[in-house]
Amino acid sequence: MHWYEMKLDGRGHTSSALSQVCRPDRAADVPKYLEQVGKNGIIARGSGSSYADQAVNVDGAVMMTGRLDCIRSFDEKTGELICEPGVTLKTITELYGPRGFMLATATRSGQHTLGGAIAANIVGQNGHKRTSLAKSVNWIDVVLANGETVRAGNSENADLFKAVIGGQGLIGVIVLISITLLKRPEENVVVERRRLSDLNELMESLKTARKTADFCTVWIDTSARSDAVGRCILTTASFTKDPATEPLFSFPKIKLPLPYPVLYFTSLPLFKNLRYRLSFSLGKKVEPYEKFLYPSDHVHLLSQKGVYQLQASFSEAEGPQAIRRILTELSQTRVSACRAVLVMTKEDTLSYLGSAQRGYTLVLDFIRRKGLEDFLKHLITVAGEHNGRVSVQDDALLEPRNLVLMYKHLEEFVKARETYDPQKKFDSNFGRRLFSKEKKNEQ
Amino acid sequence: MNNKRTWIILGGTGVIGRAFAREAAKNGHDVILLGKSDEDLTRAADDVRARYADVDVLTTELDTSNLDSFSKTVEQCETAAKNIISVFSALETAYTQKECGRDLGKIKNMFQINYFTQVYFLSAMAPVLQKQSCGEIIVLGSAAGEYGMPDNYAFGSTKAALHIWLQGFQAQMAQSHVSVTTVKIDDWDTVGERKIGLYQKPLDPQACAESCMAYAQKGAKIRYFPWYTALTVPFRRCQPYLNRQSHK
Repeated sequence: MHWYEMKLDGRGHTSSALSQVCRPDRAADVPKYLEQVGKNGIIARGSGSSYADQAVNVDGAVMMTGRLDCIRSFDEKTGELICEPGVTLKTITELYGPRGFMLATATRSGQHTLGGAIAANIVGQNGHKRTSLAKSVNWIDVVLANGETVRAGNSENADLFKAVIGGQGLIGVIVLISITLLKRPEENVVVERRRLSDLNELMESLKTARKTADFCTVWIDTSARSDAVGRCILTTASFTKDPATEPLFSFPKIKLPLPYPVLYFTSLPLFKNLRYRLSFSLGKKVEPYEKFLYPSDHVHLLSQKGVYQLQASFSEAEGPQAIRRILTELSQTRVSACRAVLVMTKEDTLSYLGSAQRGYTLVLDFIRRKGLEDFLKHLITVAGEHNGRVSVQDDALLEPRNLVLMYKHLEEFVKARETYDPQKKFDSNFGRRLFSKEKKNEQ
Repeated sequence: MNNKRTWIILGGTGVIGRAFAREAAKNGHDVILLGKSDEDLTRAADDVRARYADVDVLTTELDTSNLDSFSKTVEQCETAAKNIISVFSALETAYTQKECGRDLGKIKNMFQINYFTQVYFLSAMAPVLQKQSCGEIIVLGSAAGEYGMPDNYAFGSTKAALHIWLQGFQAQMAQSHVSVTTVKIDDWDTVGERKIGLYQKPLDPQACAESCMAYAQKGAKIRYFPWYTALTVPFRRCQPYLNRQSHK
């Protein structure tokens, strides 16, 4: 059993820390590693896809679960897959896609490990049809702070199940997962991309898309001003029996590094304007489902400046107003986001820390610069005023008081943590930022 | 490698062994996993079966403490194999220099696993491969066997001994058209006490397995993984001398 001293950070490079790192090869080794944990506890880390400090633990320990990647069994009749947490979503798609199965949630990246995706309770491009990936989880085996392995599901240890899902690893380490893969209705999807001129048109289109489309995602031009606020490119997709159309030319699928200058360029109004006006891929096309999946995997953030992500979910009633207010503030203050995406979501009742509401989730990425933190804290307040919930999965700036206002099941989560991990053996920078008692008292 | 193979995988329960088993199965080859623990073997075999339902996966326990039992294990493998036999060895145990300092038995243990077990097994396997006059042997070496570092030179010496033995074995097997490929991997996770920087990525076992398969297909003799290790090794070899100079 080896421990290493290693510097780790989040995907957004905004938070890094030197930690003691272990990489267990077998689930049976997990309790042995837990016995050796000292100050500041330990946090499980999958692919490290969280933007901020969720899987970072300064002066503490980090357990990288990527090597717990065995698939135990797959039942072709029921679609039940039993596997370890280190299996990536892309691997599952590659293995079982050709056999006619698919994951219930179409996330933007396939690099997430299954354990990480459950612990972060990630939502996909079909969030309006399926709440999150955790919805299709039958049960999970969790190693608790005392080294005991406990099975949790909707029917047994439901409180533990609800706390672990979306719990950012603060309750225990997931070592085995049973998940149901869905039968894929068709091999291909018809993808339609449309340019929409303002927020009103977008909201009208989304109402229709909620009923008709299987997948829906919106790229928003955050530089648009006054009447054009909310102008965007709407992408909808639905399964189809039609054969896939071969494009005359397609870019090779390579992972593009995004160093700071390139990332900065994508945040410029000029780039957004050009992207909105000169988008070449508008219209309808039929393509294989696998090709449509995981668009974010072709981009690799290299910017050492750091990228903050703000992910806020609003109800259908308050959403349009809140989104308009946030986008207007962005265009007025000229704080341009390098990425702005809107997806439709369903109410998340699966987890205590589930952020999704039946409505809209706005995802904004910003390059770190002077004064940005204050502005983002202001946006969090704006989201709170519109009864929005800022997702904890990629957040770097939430404060305990925001959490109390936004999450109605917070107390249950804290209680579950007290029950299953009273000594706070599982902890991270994120955990200390939002759940440490000292901080709450300061507030 | 046009024909279907049966890959015998030493250390089939380890992370790279498992990754190679998946890679072999992905390419349609059958797999025989050798390992110490029956429980781990079952887990690794189930993994391959769940991923690729149409390949045969067998498991055999390997008692590394009893080198004389290998001829029987080889016989079992030969009987079970339906295709041309090839061998992949990812058997390895590693301790830091501090651990070795506290307990010299750990050095003996490393030589037993990293050197003697592989040498004995491959020697027992050699007549089988020579008889079929084709096949591939891939053995995982280590960049640590190229130069002595203060934190892992005992481990490095076991790998250095293996590298030398493999060079001779390679020449011997080449006469029977059996290729022997040594893949020297540079994985910070193996052993050591160095601090790992923010942009040092851990070794990707799947990528390593894919590369090993590609090297074997080309009949390569010695390769480094990741490839750029080949460029850094000469500089790292100079490091002790540079340190000595600065000490003077």
